[in-house]
Amino acid sequence: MAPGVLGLVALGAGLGWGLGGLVPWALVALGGGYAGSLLVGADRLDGFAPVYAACLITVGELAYWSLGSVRDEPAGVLRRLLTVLTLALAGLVGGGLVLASGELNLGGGLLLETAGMAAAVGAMALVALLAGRRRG
Amino acid sequence: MTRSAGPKLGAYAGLTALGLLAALALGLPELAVLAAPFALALVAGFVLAREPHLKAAVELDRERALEGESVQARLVLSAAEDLDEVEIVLELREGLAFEELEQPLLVSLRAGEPQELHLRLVCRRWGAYAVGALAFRVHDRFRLLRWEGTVKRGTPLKVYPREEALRALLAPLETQVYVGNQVAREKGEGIEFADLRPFVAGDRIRRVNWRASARRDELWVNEYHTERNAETIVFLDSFAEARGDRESTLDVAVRAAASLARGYLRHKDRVGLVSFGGVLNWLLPGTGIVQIYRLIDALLDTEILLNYAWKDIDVIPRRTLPSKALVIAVTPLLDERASRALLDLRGRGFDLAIVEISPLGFVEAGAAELDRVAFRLWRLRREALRGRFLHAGVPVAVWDDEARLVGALEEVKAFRRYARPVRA
Repeated sequence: MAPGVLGLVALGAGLGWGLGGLVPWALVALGGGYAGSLLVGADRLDGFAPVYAACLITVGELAYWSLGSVRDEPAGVLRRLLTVLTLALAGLVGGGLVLASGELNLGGGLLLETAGMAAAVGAMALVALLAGRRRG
Repeated sequence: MTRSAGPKLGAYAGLTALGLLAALALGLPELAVLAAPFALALVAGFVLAREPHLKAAVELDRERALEGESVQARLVLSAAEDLDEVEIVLELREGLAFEELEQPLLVSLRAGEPQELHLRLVCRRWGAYAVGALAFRVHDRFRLLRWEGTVKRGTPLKVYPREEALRALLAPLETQVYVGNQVAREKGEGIEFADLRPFVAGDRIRRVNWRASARRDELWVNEYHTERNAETIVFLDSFAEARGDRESTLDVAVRAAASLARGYLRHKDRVGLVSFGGVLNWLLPGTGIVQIYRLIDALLDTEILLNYAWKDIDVIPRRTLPSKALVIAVTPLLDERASRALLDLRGRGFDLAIVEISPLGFVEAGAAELDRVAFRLWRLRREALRGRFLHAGVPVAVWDDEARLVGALEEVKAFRRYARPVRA
């Protein structure tokens, strides 16, 4: 419960004072609260995880929208709402697929875990490379 | 154009990595599910991101304007692809401002459909400007990446100094040989009466002064002063200026110089310019409409450039200062170099008059006692400098906020009326 409350406080502070740097930490805290509930909860996979994922991405999108917007044109508002909804829906579907793949029993093992970590780190490195400042 | 990561990109990448690693470390696939939408957003953002190709141009309804006038501007934007919420900031130099414009501008563009924005530009100060430089920022659809660029190319706009009304101008002591509007000392064809003399063979009958002839029992004819043009040099001191909130002594000096130049050119006189300061600029005397534009364009280039090098009038080309020319110096008398150069000009026999642009309206004495004493001392030094010019036979008229330029010129005329110039 406590991480969730912290997350909400951080989100409120970030939005109220215009501190965009607090938003990811707020999301981490909210996700951490959910993770904590899983650790003390049942052993089965939580079927509502994709819903939490969709809600989390929606919170993130709306938070950045309110922080970053200069002025809003009506057509622009509609387009951004559609983008947020699309991401939420994609998160729901994607999350469902990930959850379904989690049900598969591949046997586990150190090799598989190492491969998973390497994939995660590699993906982040690729993101950092692509996001690097480029002059066109 | 520069591409950079938006604030969301790092956050989403971090959340994705944290979710995946936490899922592996804690053995909770649900955390990977939480990370999935953020990862999807990143992938979608990168796959769909395209560098925008934005074109912008500003068109003005005219290239020249006077101070205080408004100019209609048209900002034309186009893009090769659909762009949502393009942020645009139009850059303008001090002296120009957009009327009723909230920046940054937010524009949405459709591919291949140019969009026009009509803006109103207020010309607050004279100068040569390039209007159209702007900076823009475009985000991708998911606001993960942004592109920022600038458009430097601008449309030229010349804002001319507004003219002071001048009823009459200073008459020079000497005139030139060409026909003009100045009454010369020489006698010849003209309309201003000069003298009477006895009739000689060849004189026209219409010149006979019958009254004088009747009194003297012989024919006497009228003689007239010819009308000639004169050469006037506007000497602009651009070494230093006193600056207030909205304008400076240089702004006022350039307006005065432009008004004087226009006035003398309308009288068919030849007018030249010397801008004596950190940068020396000059224009040889000339006449006509073309000379008006050359002079005003030369004045638009005037600016104060801090310079400590000593300069005297020897650096000025001789042809710029013809010997019989009337030199009207427009100066705030702030820099010793300008004052010395003017005294030197007088010492060389030039017909010189000074219009002093008073800096007192642009400066204030400090609150401390020492500051007030320093301010009084400075004013006394200025009075002493004026006294030196008057002693040398150079009239100095002070032009401040309360007086008009025509009043300053009347003071100079009054001085010249009572002072007897010594001619060799």
